[in-house]
Amino acid sequence: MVEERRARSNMSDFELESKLKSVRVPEKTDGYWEDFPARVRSQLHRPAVMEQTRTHWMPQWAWGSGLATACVILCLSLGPALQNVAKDERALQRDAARFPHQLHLLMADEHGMQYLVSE
Amino acid sequence: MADADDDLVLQCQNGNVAAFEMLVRKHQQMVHALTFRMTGSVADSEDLAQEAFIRAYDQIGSFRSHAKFSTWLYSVAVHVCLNWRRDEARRFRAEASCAEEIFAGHSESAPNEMAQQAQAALMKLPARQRAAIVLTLYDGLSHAEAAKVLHCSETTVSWRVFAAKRKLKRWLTTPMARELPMNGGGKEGAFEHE
Repeated sequence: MVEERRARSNMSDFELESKLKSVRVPEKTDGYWEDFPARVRSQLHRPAVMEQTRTHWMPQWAWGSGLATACVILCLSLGPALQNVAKDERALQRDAARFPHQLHLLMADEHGMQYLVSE
Repeated sequence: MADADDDLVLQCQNGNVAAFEMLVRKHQQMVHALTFRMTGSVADSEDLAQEAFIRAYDQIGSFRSHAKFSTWLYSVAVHVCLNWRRDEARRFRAEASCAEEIFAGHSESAPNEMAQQAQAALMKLPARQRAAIVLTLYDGLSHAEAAKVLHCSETTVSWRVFAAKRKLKRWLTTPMARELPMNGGGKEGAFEHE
């Protein structure tokens, strides 16, 4: 144990680097280096085209259909509410004309619009 | 333009595939050396080198000339290696055969035990620590340059180098070196992260 520790502490960075640098990258033939660029080139278009196709129409389709769905949901949920607002507004204008300068308070509840009319 | 590769890069960005082939020719040995040191396997390093160049071509539009092309290419290649998911069988096979492969081209000399141990120890490091060692020690990048390649801070690189060296010294010091597994095993290893 003590010997191990001593040995470990004795190894310098230089020694470690020398050991690591003794690992050599295997040499390849000239033919390999000649062929490799062409091999890469032959692979270039295949994934690029696939990716381009995917990146061009997939997000557009997803965003388009999502937006359309959101619009439909918005119209369906807001349509009746907007109709009620318009109806209430017409009723308010009518009642305001019936009691000019006498409407003091108005509020809406489950029974519709409620007014407080002064004498 | 400061970098000698910039003209070729510009041509690539304009769709000139022949210009990219010239860049491949120029940097192929550097990328092969990097992928070999990251994998310890000749066959896998060739696949990864090819993958790195294909990835570089796909991403060449994002390269900006304020960086050196070689640094950028290093970064692409290192991340191809780091993202490479190897299953256990491949890992065992690669590590078992790595020492044999190192000397495949040097049949005139007997396999060097020290180099075998060094390669096995390197393969035992977590992938990011191995990348830090490969970039700084083998390729001579400064910690700042390695930080750019690895997309992390200089302090992180320094820490990874320190931690890796500490482990390597422990593993490569006799009699510990004898315990180094040549066929994987152990918690720390091939492509596990820190």
